[in-house]
Amino acid sequence: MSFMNPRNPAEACDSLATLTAAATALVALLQSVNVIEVLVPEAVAGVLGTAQSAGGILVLGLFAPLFLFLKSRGATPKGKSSSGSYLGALVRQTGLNAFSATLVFMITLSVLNEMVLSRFTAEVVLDAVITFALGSFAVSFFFINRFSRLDDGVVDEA
Amino acid sequence: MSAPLNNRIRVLRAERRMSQSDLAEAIDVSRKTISTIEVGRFVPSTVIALKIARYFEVPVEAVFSLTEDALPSPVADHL
Repeated sequence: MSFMNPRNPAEACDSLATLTAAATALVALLQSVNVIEVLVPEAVAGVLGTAQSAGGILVLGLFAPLFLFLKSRGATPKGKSSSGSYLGALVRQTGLNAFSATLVFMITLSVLNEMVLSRFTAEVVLDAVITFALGSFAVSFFFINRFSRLDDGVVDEA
Repeated sequence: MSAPLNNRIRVLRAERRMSQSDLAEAIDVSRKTISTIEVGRFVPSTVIALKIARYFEVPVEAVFSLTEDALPSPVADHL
């Protein structure tokens, strides 16, 4: 499958799912800047803030047109073409993994009340939770997808 | 997502000299869906299993079968 040249709506749906995971990874990275900013000197935080803004523009400028392009090629997240597809199942499994991991992360934070919650503002903790949720979604998606037997050389023969 | 399911899609494709992409296009799924089903990485939905069987004009049992481990004991054994 060519990512940018899907042969049918089902291929476009798969591309859209992969694109969504990639965009989620980038947004998680950008969101993490909000947490890192409070841990580094002010001068560095300023640079990080600028990088974050540039990254935000990049995400919108790069992914939004790709998203619209794939939609125009028939990709619909809940369309009939995506029902029962491998990547559809992968996205569902990934969502479940991310939810579980985020729940464990939040429980861990609450247990570490003295070390974390009492030292940081609610805004920072919320940013950390959002970063973790988005990051765990992206990591889970690419991990499951990467380490499938599919990547060990299954190719078209005919 | 590991499969307790055997399948003969690769054989059926080879008999008809079809690529994974050809089959994927014919039943309106992605090539990745076909390839992951073939290697047992992904258990397809009933709809996709029926579509594949219909496309090859064979009963669904001629395409998919349970592995020995996944076979339930016959109902007679429970009586």
